[in-house]
Amino acid sequence: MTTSPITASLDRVPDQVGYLVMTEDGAVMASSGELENDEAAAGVIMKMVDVALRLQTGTDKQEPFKRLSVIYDEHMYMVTISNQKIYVSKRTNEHHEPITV
Amino acid sequence: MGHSSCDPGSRRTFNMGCCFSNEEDELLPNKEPNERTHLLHNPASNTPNRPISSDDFPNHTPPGPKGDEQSALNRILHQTANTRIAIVTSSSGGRLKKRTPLPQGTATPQAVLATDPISQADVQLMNKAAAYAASAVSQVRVEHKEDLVVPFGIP
Repeated sequence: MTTSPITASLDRVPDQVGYLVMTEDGAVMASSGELENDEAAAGVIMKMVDVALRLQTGTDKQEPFKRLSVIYDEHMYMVTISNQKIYVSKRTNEHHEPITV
Repeated sequence: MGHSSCDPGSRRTFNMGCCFSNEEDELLPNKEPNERTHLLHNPASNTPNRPISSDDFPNHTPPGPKGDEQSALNRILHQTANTRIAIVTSSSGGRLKKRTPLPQGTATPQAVLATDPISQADVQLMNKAAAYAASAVSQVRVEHKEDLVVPFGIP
């Protein structure tokens, strides 16, 4: 596992319980905590990113989205893209009152 | 040379031509050519009133059946090549098509991931909107008003 400046700074994300760094083809480059070597989560997130990239939400083709948030009552996944890599951070959700519909 | 498929009782005198004269497969004309298919449909060993000697096989193959054999071989070759190529293109091409290339993205991923999540109010708003949309879609009904096929001024 390589420790690059970016993965070192990923460790400082608040309330984080694990992170993943993936290449364009979905291969896990770096991982830690609850997401350590979590290939299954990597595969699911990869598919979600693929779908999100197809949605034309704005005019900027270079950045179809800045951050993809998957929010549960207890925790959440934050996903972003940088330099042809996918960064995923799993964080605890502070406001975990049940979401009412 | 497929001696197991020979019938020694009926083919006693034509042992050499046994593999080429087995007529079992010819009863099934719709069979796809495979390694057991006879390439020579009317081989020399089947010709009646003609003495068979072992010299007939290597040298005296008639030109017609020879062409048939060649075309049958070509057909098998093309068929095999086509199926192989089709498998390769469908597995790799389909995969390549599926993936959308990643954009350049942000320069500071750690900062994007570290910022506060969207507010709870926004999450509730989205959930509410999605629920409204779902209920609206569920109430869509098709109502029959007029004929779908309308004849245009045909006399």
